Amino acid sequence: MPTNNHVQKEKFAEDRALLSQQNKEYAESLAKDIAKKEEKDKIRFEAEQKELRKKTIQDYREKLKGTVSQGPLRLLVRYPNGSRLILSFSPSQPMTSLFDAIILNPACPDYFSVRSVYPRAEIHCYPAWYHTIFNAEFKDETEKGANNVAKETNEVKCLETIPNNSILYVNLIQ
Amino acid sequence: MASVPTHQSEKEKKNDELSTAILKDKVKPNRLIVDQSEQDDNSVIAVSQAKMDELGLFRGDAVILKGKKRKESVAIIVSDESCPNEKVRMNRVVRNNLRIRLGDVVSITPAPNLSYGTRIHVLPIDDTIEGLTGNLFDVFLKPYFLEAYRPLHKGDIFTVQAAMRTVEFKVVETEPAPACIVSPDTMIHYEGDPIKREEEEESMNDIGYDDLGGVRKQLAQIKEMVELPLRHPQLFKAIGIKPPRGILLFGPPGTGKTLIARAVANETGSFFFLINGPEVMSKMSGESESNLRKAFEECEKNQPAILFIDEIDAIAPKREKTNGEVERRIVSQLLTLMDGVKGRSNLVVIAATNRPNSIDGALRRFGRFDREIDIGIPDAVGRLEILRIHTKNMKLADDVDLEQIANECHGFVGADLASLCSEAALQQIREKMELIDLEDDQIDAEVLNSLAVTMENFRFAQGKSSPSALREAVVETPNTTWSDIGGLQNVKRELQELVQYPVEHPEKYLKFGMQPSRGVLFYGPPGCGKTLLAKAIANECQANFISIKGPELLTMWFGESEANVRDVFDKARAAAPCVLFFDELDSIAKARGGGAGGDGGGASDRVINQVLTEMDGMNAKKNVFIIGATNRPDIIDPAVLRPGRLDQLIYIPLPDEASRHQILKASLRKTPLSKDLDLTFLAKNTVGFSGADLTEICQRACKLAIRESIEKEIRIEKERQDRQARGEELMEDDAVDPVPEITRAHFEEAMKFARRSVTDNDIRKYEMFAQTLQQSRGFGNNFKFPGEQRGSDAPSAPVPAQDDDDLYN
Repeated sequence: MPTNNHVQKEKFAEDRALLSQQNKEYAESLAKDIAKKEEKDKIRFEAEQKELRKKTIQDYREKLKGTVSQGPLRLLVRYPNGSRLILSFSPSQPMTSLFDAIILNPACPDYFSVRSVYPRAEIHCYPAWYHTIFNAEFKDETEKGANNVAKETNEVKCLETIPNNSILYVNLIQ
Repeated sequence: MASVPTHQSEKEKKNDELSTAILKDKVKPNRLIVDQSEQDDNSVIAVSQAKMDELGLFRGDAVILKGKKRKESVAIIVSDESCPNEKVRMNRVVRNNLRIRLGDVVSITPAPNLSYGTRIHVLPIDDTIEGLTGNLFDVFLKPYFLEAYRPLHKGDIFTVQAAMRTVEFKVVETEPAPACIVSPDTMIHYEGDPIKREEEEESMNDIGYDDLGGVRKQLAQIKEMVELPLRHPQLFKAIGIKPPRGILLFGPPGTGKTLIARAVANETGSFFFLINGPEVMSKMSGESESNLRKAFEECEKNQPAILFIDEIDAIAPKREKTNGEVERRIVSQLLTLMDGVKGRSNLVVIAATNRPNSIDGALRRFGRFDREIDIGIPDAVGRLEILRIHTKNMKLADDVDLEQIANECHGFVGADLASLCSEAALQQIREKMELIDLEDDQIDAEVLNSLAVTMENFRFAQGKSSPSALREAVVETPNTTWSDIGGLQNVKRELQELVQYPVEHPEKYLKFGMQPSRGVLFYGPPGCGKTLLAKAIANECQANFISIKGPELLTMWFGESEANVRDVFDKARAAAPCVLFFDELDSIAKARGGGAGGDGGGASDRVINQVLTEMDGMNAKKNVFIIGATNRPDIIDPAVLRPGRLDQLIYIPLPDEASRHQILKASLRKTPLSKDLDLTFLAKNTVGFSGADLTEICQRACKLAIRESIEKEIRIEKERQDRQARGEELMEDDAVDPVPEITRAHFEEAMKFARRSVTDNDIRKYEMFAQTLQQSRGFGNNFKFPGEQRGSDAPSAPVPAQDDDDLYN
């Protein structure tokens, strides 16, 4: 009878180890599946957010359609694809008027910065909502230390800070 | 004698305008004169704010610049309040990229579609980075382009200064091509071997169209025949014809034929292959033909190409005239090669020669050198253009009048004018030589600044130079003036009207639709001043003067006499304005058909035919005035006298009393005369004497005075010696001039030998000739109507009708 008992004991231990292995593998697979699902959900969420932001910009363009501005301040805006746009403003208008006029052109990319060469300067003309969207769009780059985050808009600035007959360059940011 | 404008139909005017339409620079507000930039930026040019507004440009806008030789670039334009409105300021780097210099014209166009670059490729020039270590991008390129939005054009060179160095970069590639704006997103590639300096050097001294003067019309023709086919072959395909393949430039040496060919090659950017005619010749059999074939093959490999054959008459003479077999084979080879070009495109052959009629006729037919351009001697306007070009880099004094110099240099070709400018400059250096110490290593800056070529230097150079085209001919610039000719007041006035009226009042001739006369025939007794008159006319008109005596044209060789006539007329046309004077015209212009005259070969008839043909070939714009002189107008061929040829007949009569008085005064102008000598009385007593006869009287009187003076001086000297031998003191009276002036006695003695060279019978013959031709100018004194009852002695008075009635009483 002792021989029978030993064999039975070995078999039991083996079964127990197998069960443990199977349980472990199941747990790992389950965890992986859960992570994958979470990742997929996150990606879909991010994509939805991007689309939402893009739609916000497009809706803003639609709302601006037909808007014209006049005045003695003449500016030439150059876009990355080579097209150009001549704008007229009153010097007392806010910077966001320039933003509106720039983004209205189909040649304008969704995310852009504005610079002038004569004089050489960064033109800060974002409205607050665009600033929020811009930061959200490039949040990951911000965390990695990228240096292309748009700065805070100075709402009190007027267009008169830009010299007449200036040329502004629109730069694509992606 | 300036060019006389003639009435032109509207069609002719339009054709004249079209013939030079290709040369017209279109006047546009965007064509500006280049000036030095005050800010040294390779990408920035500056114009006035008014010009910015006129062109609709923004500050910092990108513009396209077009310079010489089809060079194009891009730049940023800004406003500069101190810049004149017609100027544009750019630095040397931009000017070099456009192949222009200060003072040149550049065109500026907005660049509305210039887009941001995705990538550019630049390479440094090797000698500018010699010994340089480190990263070119971080030190030079990144700071240069950072946030500057510089436009770049493929092929341009730009310089960057950093770290105490200046590095030159060449734009090898841009994407998109050929130009883009370097934005923060543009990738900048700079890998690769540096560019060798030698490969990059292009000569700024290449000849261009602006270096040519005086050949405006010819340049237009060449542009149509050479530049248009090479650059726009589709134009000729569309219209369905083949473009011209061969062009022959002919003209005197030194007129700029080779210069034109070189300028065309540089301006069209074509490959240029030059053959000097004599260089092709080789003593080895077949090698000359081989040289020609190699030239054509080389041009076909480098299309578009221009093949220029200088001195083509050296290798392609008329085959029937040549003595050598080699020349005949070369002509055949050239013909074959020219025909072979026909099927291919973008190869034009230009040949130049001084003797177009020496070339084989087969070369001149259609499909070969079928276009011929006469690069003739420049006129006054052309000479002014050439002088301006040669004096462009010369320092001229304020008194230099280039227009006057151009007007006076009749017959000068371009090479002659270049020599004139060099000689004038050398003369200025000679004048300053005393201030220059040749031992010094450097010449004083003050001396250099004081150097300026003056009008006097040009006068000196003019005295040393002569037109090279006329060296073969005996061409005078006569110094005879009207005042040298006594009497003939009516003739002088008439000639002045004949010659000067077309110059001073061209609109009158246009109004009445009349061509000014091109020739005049002087006839009259010998010794009346016909040759002097011709010289005086040339002097008055500031024209060259070629004198031909009839017998000079005749030679014993068959056909050579006619060739001599052609040469004379060609020289006269080349020396325009020119007076061509045929003395003793009756010796060559006899009435034709005189077979019984004993001229077996009829050479005289052929010569007069040639003269008539050449006269008809003249036109008023050639400024050649023909004067014939003869004592035998009755034997002149009537064809010579018809309208359009020597149609103005002027009778030079024996001088009347007043004229004789004038002749005597003119002859004795430089002679000391006794106070009691009465020239008027002398004139009264020399009726029927010609001017030459009167001159002879004066000369004989002078001769007698000289003889008397010598004899008296000999006698006085002898007496002085005798008195000296006797020991007497010398008297002061011995120094007195024994014959201080010509006296009555001298003239009385001279009159003993005076004779009339023209008889009364001769006079009557001339007057009958004048009446026959209805060309009398009122000099005949013997004409009277029979039965005239009025007491008037006026010979030219019109006959009233009443006298006609009296004739029938």
